[in-house]
Amino acid sequence: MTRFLVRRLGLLALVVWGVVTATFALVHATPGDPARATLGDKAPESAVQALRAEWGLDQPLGVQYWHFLTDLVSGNLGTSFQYRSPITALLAERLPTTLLLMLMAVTFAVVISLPLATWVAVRGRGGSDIGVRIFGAVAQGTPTFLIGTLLVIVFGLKLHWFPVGGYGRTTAEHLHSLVLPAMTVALGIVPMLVNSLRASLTDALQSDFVAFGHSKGLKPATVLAAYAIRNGSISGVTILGIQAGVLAGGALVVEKVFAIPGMGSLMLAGILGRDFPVVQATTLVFAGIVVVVYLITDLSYALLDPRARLT
Amino acid sequence: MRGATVGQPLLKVEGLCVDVSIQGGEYAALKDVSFTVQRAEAHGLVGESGSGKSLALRSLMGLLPSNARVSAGSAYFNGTDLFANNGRNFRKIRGTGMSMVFQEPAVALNPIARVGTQITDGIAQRKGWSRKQAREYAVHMMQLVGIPHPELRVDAYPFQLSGGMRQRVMIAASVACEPELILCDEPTTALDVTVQAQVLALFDGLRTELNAGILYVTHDLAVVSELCSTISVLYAGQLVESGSAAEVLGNPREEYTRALLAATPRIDEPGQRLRSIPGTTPALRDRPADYSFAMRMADHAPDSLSIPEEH
Repeated sequence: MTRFLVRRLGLLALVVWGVVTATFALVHATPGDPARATLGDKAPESAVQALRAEWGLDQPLGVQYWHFLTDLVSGNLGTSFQYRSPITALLAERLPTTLLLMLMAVTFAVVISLPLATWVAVRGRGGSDIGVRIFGAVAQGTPTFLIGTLLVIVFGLKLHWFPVGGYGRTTAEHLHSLVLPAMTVALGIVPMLVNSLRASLTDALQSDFVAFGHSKGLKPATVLAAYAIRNGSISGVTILGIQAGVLAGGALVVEKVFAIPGMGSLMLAGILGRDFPVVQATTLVFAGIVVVVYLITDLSYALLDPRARLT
Repeated sequence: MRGATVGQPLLKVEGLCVDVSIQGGEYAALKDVSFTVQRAEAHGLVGESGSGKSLALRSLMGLLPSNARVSAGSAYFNGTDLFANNGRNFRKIRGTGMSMVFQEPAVALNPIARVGTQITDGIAQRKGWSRKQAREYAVHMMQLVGIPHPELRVDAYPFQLSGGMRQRVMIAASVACEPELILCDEPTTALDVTVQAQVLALFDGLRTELNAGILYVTHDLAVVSELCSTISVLYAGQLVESGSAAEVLGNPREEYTRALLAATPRIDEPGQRLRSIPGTTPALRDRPADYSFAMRMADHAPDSLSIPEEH
């Protein structure tokens, strides 16, 4: 177990380094000068040059990369060009919001998918099965921003159940205003989750061990929960893990649609304002989230299935 | 004492018909099958693959696959009509009245539950036992079925045990509620011969100690002659012969039973070629409604049972 963890953490560091380097290269290959973008078109060239020197943009790319890496290792993510404040402070403010959004999205996705998949699997082939498949195909083919807009129109503008945007001040307001964004992200991964759960639950329900559970005279609900669902949901955990990237991407778009002050909107603002350090830092954090989710997936897999504990 | 009524057979199956639907077509997999099992008696249900013997067992447990159904006939367990009351009678009888030992413990045990839990979950739920009580009983049952060092193995998972041990766990789970009738679906097929003999002895012990009836499904006449006092021979879903074991095996009246007996390897005739019955039982879809063994023999007349005598 310890060796497994050490190996995985080493791999994690490697992936993060790769992502960080790729981002660095991309950001510097993007046309547009951050100093010019900050000062505006009318600023004198000398002022722009002075700012470039202050930010170290006049140095060779290799030197900049070296400074970037050494700062990163010491925990310094740099200073935002736009906000003129340390990025660690910006992240500390916004990361919890995005994490809460993703957590709520996963919770919604599971709460919707598991009962739906169980219901379809228990009923077998027929109307409910076809209905859920059609719903899945439609939901999977609909882009996140469209689902978000539809939810806003129905539950925000028509029914007034939830705010159409913003984040509020208190924790209760935060949670309330995250419902629609989280639901939007959740609906993006529900179809795949339902499909995989339905398939594995159907297999489990037809298995000999479920028949054996019944033959012992256990209550049908016990057989369903302890035999069928516990076995069938292992595939769902894998799918959830694989979808971590989709989840992060969804959070990015959804924060823009709903004006949520999280990591995603920070990243978008960074890209539009040529704010290199912000783009690099937010990408790093998103990559970190995805890699950590993969690790958690593997660990929970071992928790659910004793056969996976040996490796 | 157990709720036994004097003179009434433990299990009485009359005119049992099971239909299977394959790709929209209905096929008769069991046709008018009748037999009885008395208390403390082992009854063998013998036949080749495709004879419908496993289907018969599953129909008696109410565990038919979703594409099969009982179309006619009745089955009375201790006078209770099993097929009445829309399947609810099965729930009362499973575990305490009837239990089933499956063919492949590797797939019939829940892969992610501890073996101790699987042995006692039925009885613990019925009696409202605590974890500790259930664990103690599991150790006791494992001892009873001859698992060495049960206290070390009670917390193991099925994949950590050998095939023989797994089958013993399955047997322990099946008899944990001291059922009056044990249905066995070729439980020794996956085991080597030494373990097979031990398991058969175990069943015989349970029969006398628990005064339980045994309905033993197999294709292996050697097993039947060792364990069973009465026999029914099934061919292609039809009962071709039944009676006491001595009678059927010693003086078979039907051609099929004779062919089956001739195909059993004998230790007292060394050096003889292994005999087989030509052909196989055709798949359900490919056999005419009035299919019989004579038709199979007619199809394979040239390469018949015996070696040509002219040489």
